[in-house]
Amino acid sequence: MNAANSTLQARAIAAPLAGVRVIEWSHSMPAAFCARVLRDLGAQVLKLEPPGTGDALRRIGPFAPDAPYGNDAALFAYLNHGKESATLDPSHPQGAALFRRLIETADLLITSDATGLAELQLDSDTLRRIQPALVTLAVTSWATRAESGTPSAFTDFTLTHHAGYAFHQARPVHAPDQQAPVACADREVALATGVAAANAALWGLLEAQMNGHGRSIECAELDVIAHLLIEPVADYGRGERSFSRLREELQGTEVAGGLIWLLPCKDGFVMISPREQHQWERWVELLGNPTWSRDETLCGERTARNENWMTLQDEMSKWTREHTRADVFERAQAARVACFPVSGARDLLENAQLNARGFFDRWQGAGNAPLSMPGLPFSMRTTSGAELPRAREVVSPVLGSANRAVFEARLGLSAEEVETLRRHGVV
Amino acid sequence: MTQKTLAGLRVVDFSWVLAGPMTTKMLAGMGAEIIKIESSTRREHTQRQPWWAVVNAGKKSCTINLSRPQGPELIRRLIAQSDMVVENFSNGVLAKFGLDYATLAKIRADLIFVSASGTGREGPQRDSLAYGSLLQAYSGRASVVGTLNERVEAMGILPAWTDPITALWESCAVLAAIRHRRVSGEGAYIDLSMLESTVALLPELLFREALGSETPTATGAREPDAAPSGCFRCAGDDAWLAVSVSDDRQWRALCDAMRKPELAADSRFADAVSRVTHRAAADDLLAAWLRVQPPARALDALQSRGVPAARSRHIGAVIEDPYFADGGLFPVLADGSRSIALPWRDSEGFRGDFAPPPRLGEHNDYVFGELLGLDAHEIETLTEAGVLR
Repeated sequence: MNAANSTLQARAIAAPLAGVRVIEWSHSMPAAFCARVLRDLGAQVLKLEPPGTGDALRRIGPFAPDAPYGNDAALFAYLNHGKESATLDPSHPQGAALFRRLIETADLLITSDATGLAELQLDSDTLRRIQPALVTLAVTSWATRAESGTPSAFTDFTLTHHAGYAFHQARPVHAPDQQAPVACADREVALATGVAAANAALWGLLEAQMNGHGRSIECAELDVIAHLLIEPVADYGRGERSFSRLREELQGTEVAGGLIWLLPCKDGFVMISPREQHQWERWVELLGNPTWSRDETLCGERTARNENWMTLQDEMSKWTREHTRADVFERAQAARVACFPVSGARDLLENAQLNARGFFDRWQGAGNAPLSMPGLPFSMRTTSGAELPRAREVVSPVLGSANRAVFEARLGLSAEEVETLRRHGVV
Repeated sequence: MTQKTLAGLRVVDFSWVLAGPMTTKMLAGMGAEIIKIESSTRREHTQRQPWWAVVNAGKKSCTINLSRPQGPELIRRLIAQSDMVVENFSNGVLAKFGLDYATLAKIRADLIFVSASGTGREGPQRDSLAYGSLLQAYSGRASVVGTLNERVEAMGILPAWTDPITALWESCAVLAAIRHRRVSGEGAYIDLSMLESTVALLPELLFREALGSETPTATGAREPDAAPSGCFRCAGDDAWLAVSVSDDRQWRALCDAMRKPELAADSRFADAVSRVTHRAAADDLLAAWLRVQPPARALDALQSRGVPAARSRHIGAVIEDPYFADGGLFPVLADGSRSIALPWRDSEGFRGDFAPPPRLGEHNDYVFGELLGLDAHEIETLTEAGVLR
């Protein structure tokens, strides 16, 4: 046995959701990400895509220039790697029949709207007759419980404003008349919803496991983003109603979450938070105990540092400007002062901590150079020593690549029957 | 009668600040018994922040002084009859008290042990001192949400993002581990990184950098493939409207709403690509129109025509919106405190059951008497000796 085999044997793969069968019938990022997280945890996920065109997310960039058309979308790969892909049109009668047969052996059905199943005459009662323990999860933008008030058009950007998150992300500011509320970035809204939906799915699966019957669950983007507003909800609970965005002069930097400074360096910025007295003392010692640091009225106590934060910003910047981010970060942390560089995308891809922990998977579909993709943000080791895999080689599912396995091997159709269905556009 | 999903699951909760407590609060909502380990000798436990009640509903609280020799021993006895430990101490703290996973797994082999930290328990930066706010900068989030500024304003530092996002990941890991335990009888050790929790939601930022894409990822200011797109000032006090036009139909509808039908034929705005190319001009036209519009009227004009638009609302307007008021996301608990329920709902309206948050040490008699079997005299003696404090 060689060393590599020995290591593989020593590290059995953990799959906490082994045996869970998931069907994903969706056209949205949150639903797709939810299913991918479950796949990462060991579930078997069958993604049903429209015949011919496949999931619309396959056509959203950025694209890997050397990858084959249809399998070149990086975001699609991120949302779907590890799943099986089969094509099926449930709106066709034969497709609906196959869809029902797949549900018979599924534990969880993920959709991206609550109405699609109703259009197939698959209300919750019908689904439970087909499979009593089936959990259905609709991952939506707006909860369908709201009979009124759902806007006719929205995007993740406008939804973040409607949910209140954008307003509070720009509160307080010194010039609210000029400083607009700011939304979330990248795909945060969709992906945060995907993680919340994965929780909902797991709750439903545990519920079915304990009580024997499946639940119909809905997880809406709007609810997920609003539920993140912990501090503002607390403020409301204490009676605040006006929610001015104007920053009061004496609020200092405490309003930014606990005495924080953004300091310029030779090559960017660091953010520091020497909030405790002992941390502050070690920080100014690192700066060489400059004269100003001995001025009690300026920075003797935390309240003084908060009131004089801007003067201190200027003084501290004189030192940090002479150093790189990495230098300040390492020296501050060595002195047990909370400090981190402000990262950009390249910094993250090259980040020593993320890479050492095997955080990035490597997507093999990108052509010559594998593309780094974030993996699960946690490791898990079971009592027997099995571990969730990290730093995986991942591939995105080729459209319909599981058709034979699903329709022939699993459902027992002949190759001729599948071919007939293909000609009719059902698969 | 059906049982609550996590009924019978006892969690010893060392976590503090936001991510850990929010995780265990979600577990409490699903029926787990959460026992917070607190101490009246610790400022972070006695000086409860305003948000404390929001993230600690549905739990029990006991006070125990870890620095006294009997303290860790009592906790080990408690863990022997518990199912899970949740913690977010700095590296090495629990080991110092003999409460690390390696020690506890010998007491309870099927224990689920969740260890959350800023950068993870392994790796060259494992000992970094971290706060959620700083991790929002380290994760790259601050660089894309807003514009870096020395006032640290409107750049994704407040409100807390990394903490509640970490909580969603953490509870996800925990629920998977619980399912595995129910099937196999095995426990698990979970090492969760707040940094990774945040970066995992920023994939496009990384992909565009690695692939050399010239299109930026979405920022907090606008969507890159929509134009006009942004948050625009309306008439009135701090009134803002977010608008994002993604296709030709929406653009024509916007022109109609602005009563400028001639813009629909303007070649600069002929299609989505042209509008992105002339983004500044498109944004200026919309901004000039909205600047004198009452927000409610403008919103109605846009929404009725199918243009994506929304008021930028504060939490008061959100909580009082019938959508949320009827949906039960922000319940008022029995003690009058405002809370946050589970972010999903089932068809019967279940969003988690939440009792009011506990008073400090409220459940000492239950934990030390009922669970650990100490009699009243022993509890009194240990309290006077500063152990149960």
